[in-house]
Amino acid sequence: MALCKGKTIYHTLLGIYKQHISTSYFSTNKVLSNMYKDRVPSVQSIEELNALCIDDKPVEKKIRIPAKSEFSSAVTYDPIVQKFINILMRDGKKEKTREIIEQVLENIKMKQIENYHKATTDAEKAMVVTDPLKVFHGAVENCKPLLILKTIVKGGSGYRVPVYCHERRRLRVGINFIIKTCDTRKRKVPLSTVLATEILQAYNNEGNAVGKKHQLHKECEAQRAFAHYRWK
Amino acid sequence: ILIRRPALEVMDILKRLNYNYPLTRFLLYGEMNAGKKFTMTHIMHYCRSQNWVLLTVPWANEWNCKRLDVSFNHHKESLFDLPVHSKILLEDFLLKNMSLIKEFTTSTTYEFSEHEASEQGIPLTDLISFGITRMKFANDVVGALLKELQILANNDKIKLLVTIRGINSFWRKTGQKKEKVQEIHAQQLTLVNQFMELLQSDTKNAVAMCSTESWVNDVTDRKSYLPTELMGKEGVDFLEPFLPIEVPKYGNAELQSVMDYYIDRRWIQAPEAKTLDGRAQIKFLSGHNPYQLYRVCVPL
Repeated sequence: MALCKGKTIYHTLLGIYKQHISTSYFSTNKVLSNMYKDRVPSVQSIEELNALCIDDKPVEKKIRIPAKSEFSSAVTYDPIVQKFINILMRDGKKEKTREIIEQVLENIKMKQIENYHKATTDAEKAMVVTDPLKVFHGAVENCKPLLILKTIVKGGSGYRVPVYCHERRRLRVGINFIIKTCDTRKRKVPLSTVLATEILQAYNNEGNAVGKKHQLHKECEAQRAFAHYRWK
Repeated sequence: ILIRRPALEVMDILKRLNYNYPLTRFLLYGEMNAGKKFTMTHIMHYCRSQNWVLLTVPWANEWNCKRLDVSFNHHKESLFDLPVHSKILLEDFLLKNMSLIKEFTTSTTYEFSEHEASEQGIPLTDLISFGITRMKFANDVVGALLKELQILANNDKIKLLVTIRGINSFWRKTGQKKEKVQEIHAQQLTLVNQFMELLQSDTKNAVAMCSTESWVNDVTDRKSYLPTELMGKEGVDFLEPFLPIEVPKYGNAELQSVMDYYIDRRWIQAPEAKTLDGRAQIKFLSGHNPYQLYRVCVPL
């Protein structure tokens, strides 16, 4: 705060000394304006106040534009699916990612309906889940880690320390695991088919995306000696 | 039971027709994705159960695509042949009507070139298989087939049903250029000329069903769906005495029954969508269009 006050004093002095200053002794220009001489008297009564603004126009305020969000009360809206779309999007192309995820949900639904009709007994039919949103939620739940490694600098060197974190952060890490296992460069098959198989496997606790979560947990186990670095 | 009203109207008319008069022509028209193809399949299934002979052209705009394999016709200089597409037509015809054509034989001789000709009295299946193996003469075989079917129908032996989907592609330009310089119009193809002769002939015991589609035009031009705009003046003059049949969008009762069918077949799964509120939302989002109903329920 000390710096700020000095700044204002410096700038006011600079503004004053930037005016044209004549050098001769007999000039009549004002060099420094008198603060108390040119003051306008303050408004003392209501009639003077009303006389100042004659038309009853409202004061123009700056319009604040709200941030964009896709929240809606329609039947087709789901918050976790919307988060997935926002993370998968690149270059601001939201329509393309929305079409990809629509295809993913259709693929999941078709595969599960096939399995439902192939199962013969009633007990097997009850085990097959055909709701695509339930499969989606379950897969994302199985990919979320419990602890996360965070680098803490102590004594000049950085240590990776296992740490608790918020629900939001865990969701994001879980979704990133799913996307990065599917998005390889050498792929000849559209992204929607690869994502659909990956999500179905994650629902049953198999596959590469869940394997990444297990690997993170193992590294946390190995670094548990430094856990007390969390509190300085 | 999910049959729509235009199909039932046509089936009623077919039961009461007097087949001694020449060809009757139906025209199906409607907005995009309103269900014209579906009603045509219903009518074809009904005619098959009554043992009719079917001649189908599933999509007539295939003859207008770019990069066709076009060859010149032997008999007339100005027309162009399509060997690959006519071969596909003949194979299709054989598969569908194998059991009904076994006994019939040809009535006259047909000359395809100087050295090769088919004689009189050959069974029809031999003619068709000759056209399938020798792709060079496939287009001429198609012309011969159409004349044979006309003769058979005039003698009261078979009943014919001709279906063409997308007939407004007959009066458009193809995307093919002759020797990369001149453009070819659809009227310069032999297949188109052969079918146009069939439609204007005086055969008894035959019915023709056509449909105008707005898929034929470019992506930017697809807003019109009335037949006079799509076919132009030449098309309407050609098809002049025809019976127009409109295929409308869904009504309220149809929507509810189709949604019941989807719930039974497990296409709609979310529990919020099965309530009355959810159904009203789906009805608003789809806009009474059959195809859009299908697409709206994909993530549900």
